[in-house]
Amino acid sequence: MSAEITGPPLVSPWMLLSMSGAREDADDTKFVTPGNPVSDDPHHFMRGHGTYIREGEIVSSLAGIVNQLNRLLMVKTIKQRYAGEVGDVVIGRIVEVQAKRWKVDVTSRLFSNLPLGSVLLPGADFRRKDVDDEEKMSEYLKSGELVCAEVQQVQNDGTLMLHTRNHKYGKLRQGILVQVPPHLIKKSKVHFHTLPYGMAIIIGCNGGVWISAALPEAAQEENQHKFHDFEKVPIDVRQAMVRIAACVRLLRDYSISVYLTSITTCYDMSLIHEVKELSEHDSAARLAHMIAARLLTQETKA
Amino acid sequence: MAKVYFRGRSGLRFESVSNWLICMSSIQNLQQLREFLTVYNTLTERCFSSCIRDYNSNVLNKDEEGCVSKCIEKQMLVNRRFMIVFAEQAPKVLFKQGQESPKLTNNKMNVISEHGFRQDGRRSSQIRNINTRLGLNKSAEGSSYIEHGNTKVLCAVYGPYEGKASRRVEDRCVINCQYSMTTFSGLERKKRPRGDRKSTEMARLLEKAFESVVITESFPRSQIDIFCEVIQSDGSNLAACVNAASLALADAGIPMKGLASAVTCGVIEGNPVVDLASREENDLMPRITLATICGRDEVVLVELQNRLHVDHLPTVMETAKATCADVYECLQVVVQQHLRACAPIVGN
Repeated sequence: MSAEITGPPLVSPWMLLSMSGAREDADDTKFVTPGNPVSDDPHHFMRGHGTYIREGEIVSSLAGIVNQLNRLLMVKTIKQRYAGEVGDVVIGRIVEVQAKRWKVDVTSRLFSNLPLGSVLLPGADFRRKDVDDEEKMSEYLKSGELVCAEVQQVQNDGTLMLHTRNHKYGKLRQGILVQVPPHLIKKSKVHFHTLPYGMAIIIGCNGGVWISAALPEAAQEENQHKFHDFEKVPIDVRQAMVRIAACVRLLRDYSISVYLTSITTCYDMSLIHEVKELSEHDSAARLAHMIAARLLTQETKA
Repeated sequence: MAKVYFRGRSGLRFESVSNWLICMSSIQNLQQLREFLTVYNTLTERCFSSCIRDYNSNVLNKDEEGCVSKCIEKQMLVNRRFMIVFAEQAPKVLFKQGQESPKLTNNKMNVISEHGFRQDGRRSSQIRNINTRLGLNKSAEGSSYIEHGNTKVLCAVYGPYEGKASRRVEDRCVINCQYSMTTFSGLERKKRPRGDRKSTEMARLLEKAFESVVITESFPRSQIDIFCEVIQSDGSNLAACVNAASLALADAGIPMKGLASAVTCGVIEGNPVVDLASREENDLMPRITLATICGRDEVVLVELQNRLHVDHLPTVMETAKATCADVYECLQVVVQQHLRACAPIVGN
C-alpha cells in the first residue's frame, strides 16, 4: 500500500556507455563550469567565445572544454543549440510564408529566412522571380513542409539566410526525419549519402537526419513536370528505411556520433535484431556497447 | 493532553500503554512530563503515519497491527538507547554550563533540541544530502533533477529560441519560468493549479534571478524557457528550484556569469538554521531564501518570509552566503562529472 517516490536511475544508460568507453583522452583539468577562472592574466591572453572578464581574471561563462589558440582562450560547450555557419547543409521546416520569403525553423536560435530569390523553382533554372511567382509561393512550399537547404549567410543577430540554388536542395518528401542533438553530428564534407540498400540519407548540420528512398536530385529530374506526385516505394526499401531511422535514434539515445560509418555499422550489426527490438532497452544497450567498441577500435587502427 | 488520547483512531491501542501509564504516575516533574508527552506524541504520530494505510474500517487489519507493534518496539528500543547515552552525557554537559539548567522555550523545543540537534538529526548549520542527475530529458536542451533530502525537483530548459513576438526584446533574450507542483508533492493529495498566486510569485522570482545570471545580451530577440516541477516538497522549494535550474542551464550550454546556488536560512532565537525542512518551515519562523553566483558575494535573489529582527539580518545573510558557497561546490562537481560523461563517442 505504501508508495515511495524515487528519482531517476543513478546513471542513465547513455552515460554508462560513454563512461565505460575509452574516455582517457579527456583531460579533466580542461573541463570548466560557468564561473570558473580560465586564466588570471588578461593582458597576456585574449578572451574568446564563452568567457568574460571578472575582477582581472578571464572567467568561463559556459560549461565545457577550454581551447587555446595561440593567445586566444575560448570555451566550447558540448551541448548547445545549433549555431549556423556558412556552407552548412540544414534540414528545416517551413513555419510561415511571407512576402518574398519563407520562414524556416532549423532548430537554431531564431527562425531562418529562405528568400524567394534564392530558390530554384521547377521549370526554368535561373530566371528573375516575378509577381506570379510570389503568388505561387505557397504552392511550392507550404507551411509545415520540410526543406533541405544550405546556409548562405549568417546575419548580425544570428539569423540564417538559406538558399536552395542547386538540384541537391529543395523540398523533401516521402521519407523519415529524425532529429538528433546537433553536437552528435560529426563534421564532414559530404552530407548526401546514397546507401547500398537503395536509399539515400541527408545528415543536416543542424541535427536533422533525413532518410528517403532516393536523393531529391534524382527525383526532381525525373518528375519535373509532375512535381507533386508521390511514387510508390517498394516494401523492402520502406523496411530498410525504418531500420535506418531506428538506428539513428539508437545512436542518438546512446550519445554516439552520427555519420556515415556509424550509421552503416549500426545497420549491419542490427540485422540480427528485428526493428522493434532496437527500441527495447536490453537489446539496444547491448548493441550500443558493441557499436561503440567497434567504432573506437576502428579509430585506434586508423 | 487531549492530543495524546485522540491522536490515533479509536481502534488503535498499544499494549505498552498501560506500562506507560504506570510510569506516568511516578513522574512528578512537570518538565519531565512534558518531555515524556513529546516523545509519546511523536512516537504515536510516526507509527500512525507509517503503518496505517486503510481508513475504510474502524479496526486495525492484520498487517497494520503487526506493523504498529514492530514500530513501537523499535521506537522504544531507540528511546531506551537514547536514555542510556543521555544518562552518560548529561552530567558532563550540565557541568560545562555551570549548573545552569538549559533554557527551553516552546519555539526552540520544536526545532532544535537542547543538545543542538534538529528533528532529522542535523546540526543547525548542516544541509541535507544533495543528489542530482543531469540530461534526463532528451527533448529539452538541458534538464536536471535535484534532491535536497526529501525535496525533489525536476527542471527542463528549452531555448534559446524565437519566442512570442509580443515578448520579444531587441537587444537581449527574455527568460520565461514556470513553477509547478505535482498533485502528490505535499502531505495531502490535491490539485495544484499552475497559474495560482503562489506559483506565479515563485516563477517571477526565478525569472528575475536568472535574468541577472544568464548573459542575456548574447541572444538578442530570443527566449529561454525554464520549467521547474516540484515532485516532492519538503521545504526549501525555491532554493531547490534555483539549484535545479542553474544545473539545467549549464547542461543546455547557455552562457552564464556563473552557477547560481541557493539556500533557505531561518532564525531561531537569533541563531541561524540552514536548509529548512517543511516541518521546520511550518512555524512562524522568519526565513530568508538567498541565491548567489559562484558562492561569491554576488546576490541574485533574496526572499524574506515572516518578520525578521534587523539585528539578526547580518548573521543570517552571512550564514546563508557561506552555505550557498558550500552548495555551489556540490553543483560544480556535478556539472564537471556530467561534462565528462556526455561527450559523444566518435569513431574515425
